[in-house]
Amino acid sequence: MHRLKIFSFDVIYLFCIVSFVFIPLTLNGKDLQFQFSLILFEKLVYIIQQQFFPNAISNIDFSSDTVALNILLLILFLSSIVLISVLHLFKIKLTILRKLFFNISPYYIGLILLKYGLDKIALQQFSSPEANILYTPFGYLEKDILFWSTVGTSKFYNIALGTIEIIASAFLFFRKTRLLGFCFAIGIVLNILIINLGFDISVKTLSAFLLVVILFNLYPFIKPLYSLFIQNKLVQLGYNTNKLPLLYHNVIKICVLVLIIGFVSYPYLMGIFKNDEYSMPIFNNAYKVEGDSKNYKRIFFHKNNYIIFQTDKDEMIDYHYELDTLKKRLILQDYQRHQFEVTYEIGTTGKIKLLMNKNLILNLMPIVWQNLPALKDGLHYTIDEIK
Amino acid sequence: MRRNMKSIFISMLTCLCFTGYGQTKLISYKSHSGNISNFRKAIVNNLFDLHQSNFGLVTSYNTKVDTVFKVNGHLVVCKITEHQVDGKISKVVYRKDTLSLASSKPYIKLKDEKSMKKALLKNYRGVNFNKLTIIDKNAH
Repeated sequence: MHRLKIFSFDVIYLFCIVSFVFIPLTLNGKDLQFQFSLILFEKLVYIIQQQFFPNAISNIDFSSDTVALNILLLILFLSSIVLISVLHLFKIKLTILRKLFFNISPYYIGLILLKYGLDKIALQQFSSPEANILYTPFGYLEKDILFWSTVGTSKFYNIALGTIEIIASAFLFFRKTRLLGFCFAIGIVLNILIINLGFDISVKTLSAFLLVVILFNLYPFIKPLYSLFIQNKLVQLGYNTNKLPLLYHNVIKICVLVLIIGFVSYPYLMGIFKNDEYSMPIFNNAYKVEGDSKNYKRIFFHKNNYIIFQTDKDEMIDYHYELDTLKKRLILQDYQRHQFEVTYEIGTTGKIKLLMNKNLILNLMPIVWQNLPALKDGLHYTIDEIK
Repeated sequence: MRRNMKSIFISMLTCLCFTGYGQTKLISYKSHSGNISNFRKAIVNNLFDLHQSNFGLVTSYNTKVDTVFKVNGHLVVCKITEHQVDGKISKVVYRKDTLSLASSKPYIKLKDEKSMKKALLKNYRGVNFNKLTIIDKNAH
């Protein structure tokens, strides 16, 4: 029984370590990790996918909640079982595996919490919903986009949540506060997993994997924590076991530092989030169709260069567009890659005339959508303040 | 020495680190009211900006400006953005930015390539200016 336990833990440690290497971390900038995983696993994953999941998406990019990612994790898990079995057969000691797991995983979890914490503070993860979402009737939105958009309406909630994630990551980076960091992390990641399951958000696999990593980091402390919190006994909660030799420890720290500076901060350094006239679109986000509307009631211009037509029946039809301000035209493309041109005229009061074709001219009046109730910031300490 | 390393580490952590695009591909797609029946087409053909959500494939962008026009007091900047996936160019997007009269003022008087590039670099960060052609449509 004891041997089985050691075997199981060694498999999990190895599985987690190889997963850290091969699950492409979605840090903006270079895709070296993805390229590496693709070279090693693409063919095998593709063969398994074609055999057992013929309806799966053929592009293999190992993004979360794709069949490809789940197959990759299964391959890594089975490989770990095989390798550990062989090592145990030859009675090779694997204490280094345990040490590597307990020294790398805090930085891995810390890096992910730091990234998403800062994304939240910069309002880049849950961004404020655009006009097309705000004017979609509530019942027409699916749970995932509904949740995402609702969270995006509150800057305070994003900043608060992001701050907590950053604090947790800071605790994880230092040995003395590592256990506290994992206690924070388990609450954060468990909450994320529950949200992903409850609102059908497609990051269930990755968040489940992170939870497994955290649980195995906390496992050695279950008894002391139980004694402390439930039995109210005095215990020593040390995090000084599983130390790596100083050289390995410093190498890991330098790698994490390089990752943070080189890859995670890349868009910030490149000024991607600069927001001025040079990158702002020339159109207002939302327009009402006036006069003969031809069954369209509103038109929206999404920041990512989409034009969205809302019909009288609240159906949304979106096209990607390219803007040519010299010839005053939009080149629209649908999902079948058909393209067509629409010319526009901007009036003095911001009104727009869209010439779709000879038979269809839409007169658009800008809507002041920024005053919608969903976007109003306000805090009422008592209901008496509400008038 | 170890204490100094830690201090540097902490200060680096506090001033860096955001990547943006923390959405899933599906959320990103639905945010512009994309019809679910077209999602698979979009993802299989890697259409538009679907890959920008960073729970997925990382795409790199190379934006360059090679031509600017001066037209009736406006500066028109021609931008070419190459979308690269797996090191190969998957898409090229052309965009012409017509700056307002007020924004164009600092540029209209500039006539040589070097000074125009220097002025544009202040606002077009992350953009490559290799060879820049200045076309004055008002010149006779």
